[in-house]
Amino acid sequence: MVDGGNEARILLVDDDQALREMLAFGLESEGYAVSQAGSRAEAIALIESDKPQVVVLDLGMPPHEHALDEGLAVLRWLQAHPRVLKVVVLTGQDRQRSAFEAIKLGAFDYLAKPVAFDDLLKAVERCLLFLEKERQLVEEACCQRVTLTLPLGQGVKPVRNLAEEQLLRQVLEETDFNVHETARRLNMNRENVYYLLKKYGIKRPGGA
Amino acid sequence: MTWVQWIPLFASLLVAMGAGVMVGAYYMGRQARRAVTLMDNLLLQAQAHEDDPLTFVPNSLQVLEQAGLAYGKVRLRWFGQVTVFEVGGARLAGEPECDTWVVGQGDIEAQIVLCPQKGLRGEQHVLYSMIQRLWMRLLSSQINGRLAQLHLAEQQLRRYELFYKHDLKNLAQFMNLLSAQLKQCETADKALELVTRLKKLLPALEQRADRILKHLDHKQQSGWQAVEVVSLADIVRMVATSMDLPVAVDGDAQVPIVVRPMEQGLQNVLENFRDHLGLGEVLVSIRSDEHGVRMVLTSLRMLGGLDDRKKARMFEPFWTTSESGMGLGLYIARQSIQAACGGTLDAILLDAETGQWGFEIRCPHLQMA
Repeated sequence: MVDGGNEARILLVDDDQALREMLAFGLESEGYAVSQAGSRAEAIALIESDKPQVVVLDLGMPPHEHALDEGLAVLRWLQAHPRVLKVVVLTGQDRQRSAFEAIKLGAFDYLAKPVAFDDLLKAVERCLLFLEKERQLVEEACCQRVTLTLPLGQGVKPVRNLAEEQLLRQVLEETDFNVHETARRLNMNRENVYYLLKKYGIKRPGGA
Repeated sequence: MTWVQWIPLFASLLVAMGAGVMVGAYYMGRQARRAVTLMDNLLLQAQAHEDDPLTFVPNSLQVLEQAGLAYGKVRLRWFGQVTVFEVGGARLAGEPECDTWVVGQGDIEAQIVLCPQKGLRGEQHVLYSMIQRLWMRLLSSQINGRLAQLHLAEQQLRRYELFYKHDLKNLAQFMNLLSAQLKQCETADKALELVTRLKKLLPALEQRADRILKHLDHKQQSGWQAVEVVSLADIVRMVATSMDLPVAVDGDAQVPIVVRPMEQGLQNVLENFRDHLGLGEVLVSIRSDEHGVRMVLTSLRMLGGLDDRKKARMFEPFWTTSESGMGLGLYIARQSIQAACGGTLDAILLDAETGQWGFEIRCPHLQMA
């Protein structure tokens, strides 16, 4: 387990309560703090309130339990509201398609059901290791690791804008939407940060 | 001549013109009645055959002939079976007056050639065009309706499949996790903790079990891809024995196939024997040559009644003559044989004199192992 792993918070998102509980039992036995969500709405609410480091996400959930929509919607929400967390997709849906869609939307890892508990544990540990090293990267090397899914063949301007927006969203999230701290980290004026907030339509969470 | 002398002549002219108009009106009236009769006939044909292209086409082509069709050919592909309906003289095919259409796609498709009589002009040509257009509309709507039904049925089947995948994979995952946790229960406290947790889960587990049992069928999911070298005779005997069906197998072939779909396909075919022919002995012959393997399944009770239409119908999904059946057996069997060895399943006539027929399974390019 990664240093400090015992304190790590994990969110399990799956519509199957029995499965969720068994996963939670296993992960709690390993010392993780586990919260559970059975739907997209619950997942988003818990991501905001519990700030988990790892989300184990099923893709098929009600009302579309046989499709990828609900799980992918969580990943889309995370793209629009970047959080310092990693998502492990754990699903029984069509492997080729679901893996492609999940990776396209920024999932860190993909596991197909049924998976051995040890493999899931290793995936969670990998997530925590990456989070730890990415945090170290920010602190020691002042580098922010940003994962982007960018369109090709449309020139560099939209790519630049997307990268700029993603970086801004991520730093805002890490600084708890502190504009002063964000400006400091990005080496910008506060006015420029406000300009970018307006440009990309980014609003303070819970704000008007 | 004075104007008075012109009067009889003028009157005769008026009478002649009036008579001409009356004859014209009578002729047009007759043509209109003929058009109405032909249209009624077409609509009645569609109704009588319950909008079924397989029976509508051969019967309705006669109505087109009455409207001025010289040659008509419909090549109807019906779930892998091709049936050709033809009226009139084939020598007219390819004439510039002939029109061609393709209606439908995939499993149901009709290629149509219609040639009107030569010299069809004026009101007769209008009548022919009208009847032909109505016929095309009816046929298109029948075929598109069937395709829509098929699409819907496929969607429903897919939903069932997704349900199984979702629930069964979750169940497998649950068992996997439970097994992992049980292995780690080294102390009584840990075991108690697990049992307490499981107790809490009981309602959810019962609910899940109910859902699965409600929808579960006997289809086995594993082994649907693995290729194995097997004896076809053994598989036939095994499937027949599991169904309590007497079987006599002649010949054998040891070939590499995907076993599960072959078993499924054979089971569906043999269920057809059992449901329609009772428990009479099934005669199976297995032969192989450089082209592959051929298996024929028949019974001495399978006599007569096999024509092109029945052949096409047999493999149509949801078509059945059995009150209890869903009409999916042979349709799925065909797909299973395709999955097992890239092969085909057809109904064939074995003896023209007695009318004995049977099912033929062909696995092309399979060599004896």
